[in-house]
Amino acid sequence: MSRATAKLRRFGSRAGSSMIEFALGSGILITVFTSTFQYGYIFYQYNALFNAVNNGAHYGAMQIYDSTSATPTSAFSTAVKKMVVYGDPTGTSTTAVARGLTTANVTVTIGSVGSSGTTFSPTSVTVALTGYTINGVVGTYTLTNKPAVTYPFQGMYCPDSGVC
Amino acid sequence: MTVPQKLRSRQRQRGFVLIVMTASAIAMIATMGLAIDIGHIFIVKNETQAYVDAAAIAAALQMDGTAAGLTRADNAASGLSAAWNFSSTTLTTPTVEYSVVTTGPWYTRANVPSPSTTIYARVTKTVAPSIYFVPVVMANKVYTQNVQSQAIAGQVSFSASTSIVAGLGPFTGIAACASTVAACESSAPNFGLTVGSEYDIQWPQYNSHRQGCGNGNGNGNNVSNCFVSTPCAGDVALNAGNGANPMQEVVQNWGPSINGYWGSNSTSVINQYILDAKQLQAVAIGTDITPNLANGDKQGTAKILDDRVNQDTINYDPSSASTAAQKLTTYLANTSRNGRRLMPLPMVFPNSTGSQVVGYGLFLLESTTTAAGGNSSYYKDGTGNEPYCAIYAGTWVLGATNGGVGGTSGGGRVRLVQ
Repeated sequence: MSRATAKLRRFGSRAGSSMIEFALGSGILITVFTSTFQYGYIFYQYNALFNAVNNGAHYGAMQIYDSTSATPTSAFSTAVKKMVVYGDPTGTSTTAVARGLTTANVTVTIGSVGSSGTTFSPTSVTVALTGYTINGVVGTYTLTNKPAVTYPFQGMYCPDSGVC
Repeated sequence: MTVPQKLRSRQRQRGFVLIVMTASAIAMIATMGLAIDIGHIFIVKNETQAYVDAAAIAAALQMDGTAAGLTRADNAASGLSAAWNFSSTTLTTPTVEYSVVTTGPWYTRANVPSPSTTIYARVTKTVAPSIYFVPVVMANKVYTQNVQSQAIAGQVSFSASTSIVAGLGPFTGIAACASTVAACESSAPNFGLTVGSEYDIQWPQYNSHRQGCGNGNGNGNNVSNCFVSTPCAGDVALNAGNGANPMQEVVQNWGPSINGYWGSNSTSVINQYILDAKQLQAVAIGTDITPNLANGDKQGTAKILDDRVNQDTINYDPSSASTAAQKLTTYLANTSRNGRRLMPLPMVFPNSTGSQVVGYGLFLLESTTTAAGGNSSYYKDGTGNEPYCAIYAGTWVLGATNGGVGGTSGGGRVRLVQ
């Protein structure tokens, strides 16, 4: 056997090793690609949700507040929640900013001074998401009380609901 | 010879794969860096931007032209709760600066040269999120990236055409104006009134005999004798001076059946006007509210005004505050106040062509009680003939629990301007 044919045989055996290399390499590549996709997609969704929550809180802080306790009237909280989910307080548009996001995922918390019923007055509006799961296809991320945004209340206080 | 040629080319490929792998690994890590690190930075930027936006609004709501207002503004901005890094790390200690105009120069609270004209608050916050993948392909490696967010909020005056549909109380402040409606409008923001003085928001009963009533034909003619009771101190002081005179405007132009109240005569509706943000009608600068001026229900309105005072966490003036100005200052210095005692009113100019709204003003309702836990009955205690007085607190800023800085109409709201 000449040196040349010995070398040829060795190269010939590369057919099997390239299979192994491909298996190893593609394993790493697929992991890298899917995790990049997953993180990127979750980040993108989180950002969209954050903007929705930010809009909702800013909107709520400029409305008329018509409850004498830190529990807002359903009209107030529904408008804020719809603002978060649909980008529209009336809910005319029914396309949620993120798939599967519903008003049930939105919590509206009112900061206040004074005691309920007598000297209550709203001072801030906090909007947060709870129980929504971002589905990154290969992985999921469940939001608990986040994203949360607080704005100082700068609307009008109207203690009797339905009057204003 | 074909075999050696093939061999040579295969040998060359070995090194080539290494180069390709290196290049693609760098590209891959860079792509991950873009997707993950830059994505992370964008989220952090959004989170801090929302924080500075809200903090700037909080600060601008507190500014009332005084150094004390700027201190409150600093506290309001740093007291706002927010978090970054996927809502995991609390955001604290923003940089708060103030300016007269949006273009600066900007000063921190202690260095503000003129609080009385400072209407903009700028809040800046820099955070440094970690970056994980981008440093791998960096020549000079850094592992954090500073992200700065900034927002400017200011008190923006209502324009002459802004229609106010809700929020104003059913009484009026009388602008101290000498000549025309236009001249009166341009006497904004304070319309000749002094912050911390007591003015009539509803005038006392006319003296039916009009004995000794000067009818407003010039100074010294005892216009105060036109009323059964003496009007409030600030109007009396203006009457004694040589300048514009609200008492004279009222005597000359308002008949005996109107007293500055505009609204319904029904108690349940008066409730909505005084306690809620409801108005009889929308008003704008230039609106003549003469057709809406009404008798009202003196007993009803008095009780409801007291109710509004008692809805404030600070429904009392400590006995140390004896003058109207001290009452206003101690009220504003108390951080537990909720602002219910402050009532925005239209400022009107009664004249021969009508009673035009020339702007807006904020009034602090009076209280008889001197300590927490008591019930004020200031308005109820007065007889039907007595005036309703309130302390002028400056300009009205929608949603604020204090007066504003100034502006062109005596009213405005806080807006993000950048």
